[in-house]
Amino acid sequence: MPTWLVARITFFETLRRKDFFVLLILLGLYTAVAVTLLQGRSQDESVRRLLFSLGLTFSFGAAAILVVVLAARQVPKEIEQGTILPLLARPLTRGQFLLGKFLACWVVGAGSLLCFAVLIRLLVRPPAQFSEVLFVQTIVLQAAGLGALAAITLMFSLVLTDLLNITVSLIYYFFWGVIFNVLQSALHPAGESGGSFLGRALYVFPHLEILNISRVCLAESTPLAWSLMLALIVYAAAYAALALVAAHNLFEKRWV
Amino acid sequence: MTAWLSKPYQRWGLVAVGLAILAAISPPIVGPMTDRIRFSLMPDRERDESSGIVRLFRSFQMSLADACYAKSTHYQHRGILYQKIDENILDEKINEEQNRFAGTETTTSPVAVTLKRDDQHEQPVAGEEHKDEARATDEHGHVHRGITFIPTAENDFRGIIGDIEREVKPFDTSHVEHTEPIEALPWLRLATWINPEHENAWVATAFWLKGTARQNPDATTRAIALLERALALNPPRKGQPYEKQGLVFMLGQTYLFTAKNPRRALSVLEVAIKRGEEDFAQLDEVQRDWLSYNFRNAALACRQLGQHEKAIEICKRGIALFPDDRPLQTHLRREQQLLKKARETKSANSKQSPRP
Repeated sequence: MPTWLVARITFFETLRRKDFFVLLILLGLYTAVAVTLLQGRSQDESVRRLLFSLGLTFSFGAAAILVVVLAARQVPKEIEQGTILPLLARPLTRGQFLLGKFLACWVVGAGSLLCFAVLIRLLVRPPAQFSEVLFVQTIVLQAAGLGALAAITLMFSLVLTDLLNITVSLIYYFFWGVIFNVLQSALHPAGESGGSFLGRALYVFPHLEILNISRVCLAESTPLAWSLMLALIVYAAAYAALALVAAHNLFEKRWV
Repeated sequence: MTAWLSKPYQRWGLVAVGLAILAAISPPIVGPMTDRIRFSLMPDRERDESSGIVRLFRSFQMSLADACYAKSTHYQHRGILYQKIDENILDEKINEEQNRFAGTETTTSPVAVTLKRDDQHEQPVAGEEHKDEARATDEHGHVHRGITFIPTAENDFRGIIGDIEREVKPFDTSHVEHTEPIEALPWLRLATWINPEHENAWVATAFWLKGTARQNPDATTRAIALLERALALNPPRKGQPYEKQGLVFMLGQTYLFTAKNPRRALSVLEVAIKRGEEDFAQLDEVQRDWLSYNFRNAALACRQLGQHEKAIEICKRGIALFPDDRPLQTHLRREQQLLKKARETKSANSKQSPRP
């Protein structure tokens, strides 16, 4: 119960923040651009495909930035303003406090993602060979990815400063896929066994980019197999859980 | 469970074990998904359509590679900017090489055709052309007519501003010695790195690189390695026409005339001309020109190998696609003569030799 209370308070608090209004402005901006471009060209498949794809990319990117910015500031801000002391004086464990913060950040990110997705779906007619089920799977997987991202950022917020945390988390989220490929190709000529061991070790870091399947959504018409879908959700949930456990350990030792 | 995880070291242990398990089981989940969403530097028409960001990136990527390629052409004129159509001397050099080795009449290389086609909208208004023309003779005594970007004083409405620009920027209308842009090789290589599909950049890099053979004994080997890499990066794609005939031309030409390896040249060219015949209807003007060059070089390779019948067959196949190609017709006549001569020599030899 205390977890829900923390989550609820944090959720309403974030709705009053300027970050959320920036997101709303961007939403309006996308709408204006999409409506302008679609004027008289709504039948053009390539324009629709471009707008749909850009909309998805934009919404996924914006939601990720929002989640990172919110999650990075939750704990440090409470400590800085001293508001954490009355909170922890209540019958509330540190674990519950973290879990509440995590849930609020995740819900805000997932909510903004959902708003964007609905808007895109209503504004732009989807391209030919479009699967509604795959579209829903895309949004669900992205929401799962945002959960993992929120947990990881929350964990980093206990050891890094706000700005550094935001930078590291965003770079990790957007570029880990590329960095991973570069590292793998650099390790490959290092020898079969050494290369494969180090290459395997790199899988310790979560691949949040695989949860962004917007390209698949527009390129294919067959939904993902449910087993794969489940595996991907479990993958994201496992990393989120581990990050929260690690965050709890770090927070427990932290002097507030 | 909660009691078991009450100690911090137990929770850290859980994190460590969890990460180890995830690292072990991740590859089968991550691998296939990564393949499906992978972004590659290599443009892919079908896959690129599925992402707006990738499409925007592709436009930027291609423009950047074109800018690097255009930059390399500035070196040919010692920094003087010309209108693009007259700017690139690569086509002249390729023609020179073709004519020198093949002994055919003057042709227009596909590089020039590409540039002409790209710049049709940039043509000056009729009557103005003669005003900005610069006639220049290069180191090899060839005369080039170019239209400079900076107009001449007589044709410049800007007055003193134009005078200042002509003073501070490389400008000359009387005589500009063209150079082989060896210094521009990094620009060209950069263009191929940015856009591995940039056929002209690969061709130009290899062409200018093999031109340095006097100073650098490895130049030919390196040019061949470069072109082999270019071909490996641009393999034929299923369901799409093969539009890299220029790369094959340059590799075939290098094997044939520079490395003196007609067998390898023929093996490379044969595949390309076969593919060209299949895709002919879908090829654009530039690719068709490169294809005609490939037919000629394949016939020449056969001649060097003494395979006159095969050369005749290749010439006939080429003429079926390019009925007005005079070099190919010349090759055909020559091959027929050589075949006839070879047969006569063979029969004369068989008559002269005593039977055992």
